[in-house]
Amino acid sequence: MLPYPQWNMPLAGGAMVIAAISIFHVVIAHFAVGAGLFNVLSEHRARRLGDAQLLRFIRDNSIFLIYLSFVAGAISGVGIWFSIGVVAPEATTFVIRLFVWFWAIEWVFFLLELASGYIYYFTWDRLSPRAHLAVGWVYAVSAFMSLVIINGILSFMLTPGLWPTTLNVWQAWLNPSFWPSLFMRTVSCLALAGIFTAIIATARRKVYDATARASIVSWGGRFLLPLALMPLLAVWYFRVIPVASRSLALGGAIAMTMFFLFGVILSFLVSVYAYFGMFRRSTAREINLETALLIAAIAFLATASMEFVREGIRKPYVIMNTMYSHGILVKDAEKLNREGVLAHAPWIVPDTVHYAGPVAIGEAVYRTQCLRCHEIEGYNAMVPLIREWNMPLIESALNDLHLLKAFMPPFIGTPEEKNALAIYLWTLTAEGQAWPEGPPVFDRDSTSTADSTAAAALTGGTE
Amino acid sequence: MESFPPIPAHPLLISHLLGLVFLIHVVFMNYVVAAPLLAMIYLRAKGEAGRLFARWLTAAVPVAFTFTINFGVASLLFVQVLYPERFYTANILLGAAWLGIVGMLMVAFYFAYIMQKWIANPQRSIAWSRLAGAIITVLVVGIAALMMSNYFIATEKSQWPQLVSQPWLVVKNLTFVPRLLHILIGSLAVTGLWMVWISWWRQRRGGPVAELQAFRRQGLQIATGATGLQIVVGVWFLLWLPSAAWDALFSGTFPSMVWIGGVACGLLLLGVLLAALANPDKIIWQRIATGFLFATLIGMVAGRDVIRRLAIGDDFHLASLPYRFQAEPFLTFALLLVVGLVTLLVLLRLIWRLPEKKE
Ligand code: HEC
Repeated sequence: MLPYPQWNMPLAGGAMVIAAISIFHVVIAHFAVGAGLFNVLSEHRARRLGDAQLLRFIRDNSIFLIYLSFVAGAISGVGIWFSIGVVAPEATTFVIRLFVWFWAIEWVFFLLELASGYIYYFTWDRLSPRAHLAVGWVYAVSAFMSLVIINGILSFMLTPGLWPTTLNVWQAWLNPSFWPSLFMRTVSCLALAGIFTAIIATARRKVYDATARASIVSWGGRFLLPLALMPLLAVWYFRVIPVASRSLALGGAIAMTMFFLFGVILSFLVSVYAYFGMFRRSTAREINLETALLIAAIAFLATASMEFVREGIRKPYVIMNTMYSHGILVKDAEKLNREGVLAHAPWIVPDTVHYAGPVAIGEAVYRTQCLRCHEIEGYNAMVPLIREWNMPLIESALNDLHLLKAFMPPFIGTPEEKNALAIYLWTLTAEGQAWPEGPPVFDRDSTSTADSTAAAALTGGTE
Repeated sequence: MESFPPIPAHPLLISHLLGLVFLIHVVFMNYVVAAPLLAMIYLRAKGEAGRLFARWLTAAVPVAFTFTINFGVASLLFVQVLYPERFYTANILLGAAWLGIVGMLMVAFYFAYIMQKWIANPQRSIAWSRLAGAIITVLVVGIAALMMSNYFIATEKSQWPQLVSQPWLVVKNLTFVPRLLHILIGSLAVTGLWMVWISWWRQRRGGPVAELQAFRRQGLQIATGATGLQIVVGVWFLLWLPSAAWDALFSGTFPSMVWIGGVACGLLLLGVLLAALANPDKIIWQRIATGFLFATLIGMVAGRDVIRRLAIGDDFHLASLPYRFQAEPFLTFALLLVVGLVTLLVLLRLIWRLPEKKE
């Protein structure tokens, strides 16, 4: 059941396109949520203490928020959506359909967030403090709520909880990893807002003198302190996620473990720095733009690592136990094993221009199930993985793909398709390339002929 | 598609929501398309007035961008729920060009801010601001063309075999040029009326009355000219449509009646605008014109839907798609929407009553 055509980014792989846009977006979006809370809490404080410098700073921060988050943040959010629609349309269809009303609620908060964000900035010094604070709270609450909504959908993909049995969408949304991941995200939102105070205050040295900087940075430093809880929250998170995912992150896949440790340790270190470097006024005075940017870069890497782990440990599923990473639903696997995967992937047809016989079929099967995670050369490339392999090894690998690496789904398709795939894979090995009849013609750049035959077949045919 | 979760409400409910948010999207989007272009033209006409008009026009572009995107997102959400097979297939066939929209949008949006800054700075040569206007215009028209292509590919399943290897063939489609013109000229008409309301708003806030009156007049003239032209292009566009589209548009179904009503309002709009031009001090004509403009836009959105459903084919009936109503999530959404709209109104009232800004 692969109803869509495929789009692939040569060498880099589609998944990397999604990852690049997402990381960019997540950091900005987290900042936007944290800054909403930061601004309104700071405004309360500044008005209480009569701190004109802090007030002025919040104003700077609120225009910065508009420039960064309303443009780059909002558009990269659209970008995630565009890229998942193109790279993983099956999973996108699934979460859009299941959660339409949650997405719609998310949109309501997004609308409020935008309106109140603009108004908050435009009405500085022109509204009564009470009214202005109220606008600030509308922004803070709606930005935070948009995080709450999206958090439920993202965490569902790793821990669908009771949903598969009850099909109750509330249970899908309020799933087992909802709370720990919401806490982790909130902590990181606050931290990013705190780090940005240091950046903005030090970047505008002309406006804020040393005393003002010390007091602003020290206040901003408080927003980083909750990061110290990250290791505990991580433990909580790992208690609720599926055993298989946990074991991937905790040693089962060393790359995941490393990234996970990086994420947690970096977060913790940033919080330690926040205490000694920012929170205490004597040192807050000394912080400069370069240091602030370095801390921001570290926080960026920490966020990126954690997101990478969150996406990684879900494999071989895109929706845990429901849909595999290549878009085939788990419940369809048995049927496809009987009837053939190509029979149910109308767009993916053998490329008989560049390949012959079973190699052509095998190559098409490869596109149905392997291409999403393995470029031939490039991202998680197939060629180096199997260069020295021989046919028996390939065959046994395909028989137990899911046991070979916990990241991989089992092979899906008829024995003939499995056989064809084995032959195709073998043509990629050193042995296959050296075969006396010469390696089969191989030209990855022109799959278009295959695709148009597919489309013709799909629509009743014009050729 | 039966493998996926069912649509979580009656498809017609979602379809109407789609129409509503798409309408609002269009109102903002049209401003984003035409305002930088008009600003560029005013800057050409040199002089202080031109610069001032350009400044007023560009001042609202970022906010319009924001709400274009916000309501565009909502439109895409509902499209994806109803027509996933069509929509994603079109996205994938456009591939990198479709993803390119994201980059184009971001550059255009940042240039809107840059253009504002440049115009406001008398030290900077006008040529720079015009360049910024040109960049924004090229990018947003490009995005409009891509969105249109996506809509076209999504509806024309019979063309997929050709399009899959040569997606640019959509450009050769006979309706491509009139369609794009229809969007561009419509944008000018809508922006003309935006100018009218921007000028009232600024006048209320103590802006220079004589200049604002001139600005308002310009807006009315642009709206009138564009509406007249639009009628011509609309007929051209209609003539290029296949006869099946004609049958559908005049079939007497509810959406087709809405479309016909919209066309009628469009014709009347021209008359109302002429009356408004003749009586520039009578705000009532401007109000009526805005009302007719909205009615016309509603008609156009309905017509677009008629054509889409026609193109998708006889085997597809929106109303008979399988669905399972998620009542509670829907009610939660409806409730939060009401709360959100009330909050929005309160916020808008705050600005409406804002004391004047000292310039
Ligand atoms: C969900 C993503 C995913 C899918 C789908 C997938 N793989 Fe993998 N595969 C991986 C990852 C991750 C690795 C580990 C790579 C590494 O260790 O460097 C891997 C490793 C492999 C290896 C090397 C195993 C080893 O022990 O060295 C082979 C062979 C392989 N994959 C073949 C395939 C084939 C054939 C398919 C399609 C039927 C496929 N994979 C589909 C993710 C995937």
